[in-house]
Formats: sequence, structure tokens, C-alpha cells
Amino acid sequence: MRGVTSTGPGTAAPDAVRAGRAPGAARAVRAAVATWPRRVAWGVVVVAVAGVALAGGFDRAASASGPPPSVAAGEPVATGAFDLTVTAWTLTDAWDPEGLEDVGADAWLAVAVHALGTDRETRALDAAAVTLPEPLPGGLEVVGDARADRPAAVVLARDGHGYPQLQPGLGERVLLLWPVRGDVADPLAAPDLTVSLPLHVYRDLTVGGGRYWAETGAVVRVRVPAGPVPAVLDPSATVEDPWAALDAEGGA
Amino acid sequence: MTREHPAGAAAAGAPAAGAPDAGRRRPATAVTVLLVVVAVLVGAAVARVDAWWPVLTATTTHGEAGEVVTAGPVRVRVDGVRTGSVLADGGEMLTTGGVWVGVDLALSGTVDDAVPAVLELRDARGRDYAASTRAGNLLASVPHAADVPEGGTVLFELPAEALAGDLVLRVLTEVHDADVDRPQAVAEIALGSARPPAADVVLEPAEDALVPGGWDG
Repeated sequence: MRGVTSTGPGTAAPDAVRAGRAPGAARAVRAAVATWPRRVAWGVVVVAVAGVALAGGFDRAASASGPPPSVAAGEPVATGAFDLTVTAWTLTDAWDPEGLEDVGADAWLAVAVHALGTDRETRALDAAAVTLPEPLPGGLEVVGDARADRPAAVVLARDGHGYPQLQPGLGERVLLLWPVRGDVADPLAAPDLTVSLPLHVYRDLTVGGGRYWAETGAVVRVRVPAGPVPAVLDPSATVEDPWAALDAEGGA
Repeated sequence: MTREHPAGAAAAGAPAAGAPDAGRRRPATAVTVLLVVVAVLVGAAVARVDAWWPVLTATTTHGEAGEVVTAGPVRVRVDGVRTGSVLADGGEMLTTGGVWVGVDLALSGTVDDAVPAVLELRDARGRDYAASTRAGNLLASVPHAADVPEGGTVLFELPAEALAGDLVLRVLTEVHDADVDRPQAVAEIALGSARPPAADVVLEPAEDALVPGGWDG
């Protein structure tokens, strides 16, 4: 007897075949596990999904589950190469008025940060160490080449030295400055400013060898109160003269 | 795209069609196994290639205070170490939250004009403090003629606790980056421990000047 080579439309199927025909879904399942390679493949898929689930891979990501962690002003935050403590912010037009004119700004927005180098070598504070909120309170607007995460200048609060190189283990107060436009009439009446501190991790460079401090994408928020203008930004302030103290000591 | 078997082949039955297929599968399976083995071996080799590759590290010359130490294009001799809590630099009084450390030294090139890329102090904990950018530190940043030593004071700012152990002056001849180990000539000069300054001790750096008599003087 010749074998049946087609069961297409118009071909009469034997009764035995018709009686044993399973529903479509059941047939698909049976086909899916009909051979050992298919069973192994399904086993791999099941184990992989179960493994991901057990490892927490289907949990809601931390960054999506809520706002970034916050600390109070004055509390240190370990950001990577530096422990940063944001203490206050202020507005002033007394420092570098030519710089303000050049970019058409009304004042400098200064954020005061205590930076303690925890790395093993001298480093400058990362340009993106502090990020301003957007938009700024009170309708203020960053102008010029500065951006919310890139201040126009960084100075040492001790003596106004620009772009200071900070020594490991030697904490210094630094001021990050952004030129801003807007209502700067009464700096001390300004509301709190919530800044972000990006966190870094020391890791291998993908190409070329070596290691570097890379941003993790995570940030810590700090709600910073307005404070007085630091003496180094205020030419009218009385700055203690170390020569005078030494002269007085020598004269005595 | 798949090729259809001629109707005749299907009609001829499985044994007749299967025999040549089975013959073709055997070499295909062997090739697959061979490729897997090759892939595993290549992966293992790539994972270890960094360890096999020659590591180009710095060539370091060690010395002590009073010795002329040569590191590639630069020669250096340390003559003393002083500390202060205030620095008198260029008519300014610079305060610090730590201590000022002044290293009196002389520098020259070896065969041509040379400038050290970096001068730094290493403390007992392995932390490196670059010459302060707050101070003038001109000696550390200008070229020095071959074997015409120029003396002066290079100034560093350290936390007070860094003086608890011995200090080492490191003279680097290439751009420094602690994150990358570069092949370069380095001089390391042991300074011993430095005495912490009393309050209000002013460190006054020596004027930069040629060393009379040169290295033999």
C-alpha cells in the first residue's frame, strides 16, 4: 500500500487520525517538548527565569522606587574621591563684577562645600561635584557657559585661590560659583536650595588600562539653607591679616 | 531558504534518504566540537593576556638627602626639610589647615634642559602630596640646564598627621597619574621624619639661585 503523502484540504483523512486529533493548543505543547533538545531548551529558559527572579532581577529598580536619598546640610557625603559637606549657599555681586558683566549676569550663586580628599593623591574637585536644581528657586537662571552641573569657577574659601588642588586628608572649604540672572535683592531671604551630589566609584578603564573615578549615576540630595556671603567673596569684609598678628606678637 | 526534496526521494523511504545525511552530519558535528574547543581556548587566552603582557613600570632611582640622584633627564639633591604653620610666599602670608613643608633642594638637567613633571611627597601611608599650587613653586616648573644646578625651596601642604611617619620626595619625569602606571624615570629620596611646627612658625622659602660650583661645589 502506498503511504499517504498529503492531508491537505480536499483530502479525506482516515477516521483513526480524525478520532485521535487533539485540540490545537495541546498539539503545540506536545510539539514543543517532542524532542530532547527542545526539552533541554525549555529547561534552560525556566532555570534562567527562576534564577533571575531569585536574584531579585525583577524587583523594582532603586532609582525608580522613589527619590534619591537626602541628607541634611552639614552632614558629610562620601561621593568617591572626596567626602563633601555642603553647608550654605548665597548670592553676591561683590566678587568679580567684570565676570558678571561679561556674561550679563546679576550675581554669583555660591555654594559652600567642605571637601575632604579620601584618595591617595592630590586632586582637584570634580567640576560636576555639585549640581544645582532646575529650575532654580526665585526665578533665578544660570547664564553664560556655566550649567547646572558645571560651575563657572571654584575658589578656596581660605584665600580665594582659583581651581584649588586639594591634598588627601586635608579638608578645605571651597566655593562653587555660578553666574545667575534674576531677583537677587535680599540673599538671606532666599529659600533653601536642594543640590545634588553625584556619587563616583573607582573602576577599571575599559580601554587603555588604568583606573578612574566614574560617576555611578546615583546622587544624594542636600537641602541647603541660605547663608552670609563668605569673606573671600566680599571685598568690604575685614579679613584677618596674619602679618599683623605676628607683628603684634613680635612687638609684645 | 530550504531546498525541497524531490518527490521521488520522499517516496523512496527514510533509509535510502537518511544514509547520505548521516554521513554529512558526522563531519559537521566534529567541526562544531572543534570550534567550541577553539572558542574556549581563545577565551581563556584573552582572559589571561593582561597577565602575560610585559608591564611597563617606572624605573626608580633611590637616594637619601645629600646625595645627587639622577632620574632620566633630571638630577636632584635634597639639602634639608623645614616645616611651618604659615608660609611667607611672594609677599603673602598663606595659612593652612595642615602644615607647610619646605624641601630645600637643587635641580638640573642631565644632557639637556629639563623640567621635572611632578614633585611630590609620599607619606608613610602611601599618599602622594603634589607641590602646592597655592605657593609660587617656580623652581619646580621651569627648565633647568644640564648639570647647572639651581637651588631653592619646593613647598608642600600636608595634613599634620602625615608627619607621624617618614616622608619620601618623589621626582617624576612624566605627567603623573596615580591611576595609570607609566613607564618613566622616577627619583625617590628618603627624607626621614619631619618635625611638626609650633603654632605661628613662619616658613620662609629660600630664594631660587644657581648653586655655586655646580654639583661638585
